[in-house]
Amino acid sequence: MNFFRLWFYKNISSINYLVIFLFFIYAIFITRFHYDGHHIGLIYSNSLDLINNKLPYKDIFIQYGLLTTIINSLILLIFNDKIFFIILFNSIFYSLGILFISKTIKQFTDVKLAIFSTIIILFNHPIPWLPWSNYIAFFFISIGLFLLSKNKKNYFIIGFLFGASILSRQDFFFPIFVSIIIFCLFLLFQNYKFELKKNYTFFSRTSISVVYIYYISFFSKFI
Amino acid sequence: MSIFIIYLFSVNLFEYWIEYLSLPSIYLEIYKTSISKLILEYIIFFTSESFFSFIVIPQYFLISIILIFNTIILFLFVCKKIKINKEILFILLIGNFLSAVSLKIELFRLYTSVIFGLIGLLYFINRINNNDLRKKLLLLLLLPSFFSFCFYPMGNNNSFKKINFTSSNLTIDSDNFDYLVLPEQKIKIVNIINNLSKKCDVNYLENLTWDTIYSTIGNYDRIRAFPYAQFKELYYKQNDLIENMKNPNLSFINLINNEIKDSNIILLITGNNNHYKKDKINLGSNYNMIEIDENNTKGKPQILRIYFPNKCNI
Repeated sequence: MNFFRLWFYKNISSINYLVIFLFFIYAIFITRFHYDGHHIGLIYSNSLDLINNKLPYKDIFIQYGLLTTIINSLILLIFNDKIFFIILFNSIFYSLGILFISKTIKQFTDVKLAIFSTIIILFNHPIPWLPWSNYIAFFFISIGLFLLSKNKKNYFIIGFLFGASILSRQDFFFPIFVSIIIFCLFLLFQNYKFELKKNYTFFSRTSISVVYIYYISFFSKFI
Repeated sequence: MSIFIIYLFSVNLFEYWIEYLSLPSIYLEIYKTSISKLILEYIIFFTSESFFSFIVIPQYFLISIILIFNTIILFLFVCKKIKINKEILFILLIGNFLSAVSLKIELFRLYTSVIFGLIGLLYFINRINNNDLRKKLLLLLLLPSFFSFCFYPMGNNNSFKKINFTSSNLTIDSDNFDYLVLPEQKIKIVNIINNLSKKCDVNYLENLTWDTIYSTIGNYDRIRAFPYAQFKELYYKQNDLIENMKNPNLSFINLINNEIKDSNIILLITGNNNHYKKDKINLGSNYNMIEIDENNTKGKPQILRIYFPNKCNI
């Protein structure tokens, strides 16, 4: 028993990777048999339309985010228009998202809780339901939070990743933007003025341009 | 972000994109609800109902624990009762505010948004000095998750429950579906449309069904922006908004009728989707039709009608 525990703790990081990989294989096996012509078809159709030089928004109904369509179009270009690869990469994004969450938890706590988080997320949501924008945005935020948890932070890259998550799924704009605003307010009132100055870069990269667009769009209704 | 804005301006798509921003309010009309009602229902659900529905949907349990615990921590922080590492503070905030994208409570939305709150939750559990309490709290998270996986190994997705794991003997004619296992009826439909596309020299294929996959077969152009059809009255506003961007001068039904006259379009129609508002698709004697059941379920036929010009010899 002691030998097993010792072996387990010695290889715990590898076990974390193995668990994620096994669930990834499981997800691919199940989703191969899953037919959802409406949703998978919409993602596939949008990507093909973009490859065929149709104009986003005008000719293509892009409901969630342009970056999702661009990423899926690139996948189709590389893999000869095969739908399966959109589903495969969706599972890869989900698995990597979970990996980065567990790595973030490892940064803040220890490796045992990292593998614990992997297990409880995958036990509850083992398979990505659809090749949907949520999973791509999830992937970008996971990496963003992981980089935020590191001692050496590159606020430009973190801001870029949060921006990418908003471009993948526009609905993420509101929660990300409000979180950043409230976070900055907390820093201000908690007298972390130095930290606030540092975080301003992150704040500005992520949101200023988006705010600008929404500002214009809001007022354009009245013009 | 900047690249995105520059791109939209450079190809004159900015105004179209702005029009899309009104979609969320249209969806609220479609679902006959409001933001405040959705928020209230969300709070009530995750503070009470999610626990009562544990046996049926145990996956909500973890989300409820994350939301309740993190809200309490944030509340204590605001009241200056505890101090929080600033990175964890941001993660707690983003975890809670991402609820905004999951107000239409669906598991896959929650497990790609609110789940970030798990980082904060485990961080605080790890800081508990009492070893016994810490282990019990971790068990409180682990055991329901174990239950979830044992009884719902595919994640409680109703769509997965319908999967038939036996593959058909039929082979699909299109390479685009390689490595996928499709239901037998879908293989037949894909093969028919694919076969039609080889023998039919037309420019357009209009898919007036719910199944978007059909619109991707044969590499045809289409008249509408939507690659599928949802013509219920509730969806008129959404349809009009999107279709008017692509075809602002003439209704898409009129444009389809023009192409029918020229025998330049293949039509896939289910139910009453040959009508939109007062407009109707007029098929003349220059068209043939094939009918095929999409489901092949006894007592529940869902007939797909494929209209193609007489000039296509199949």
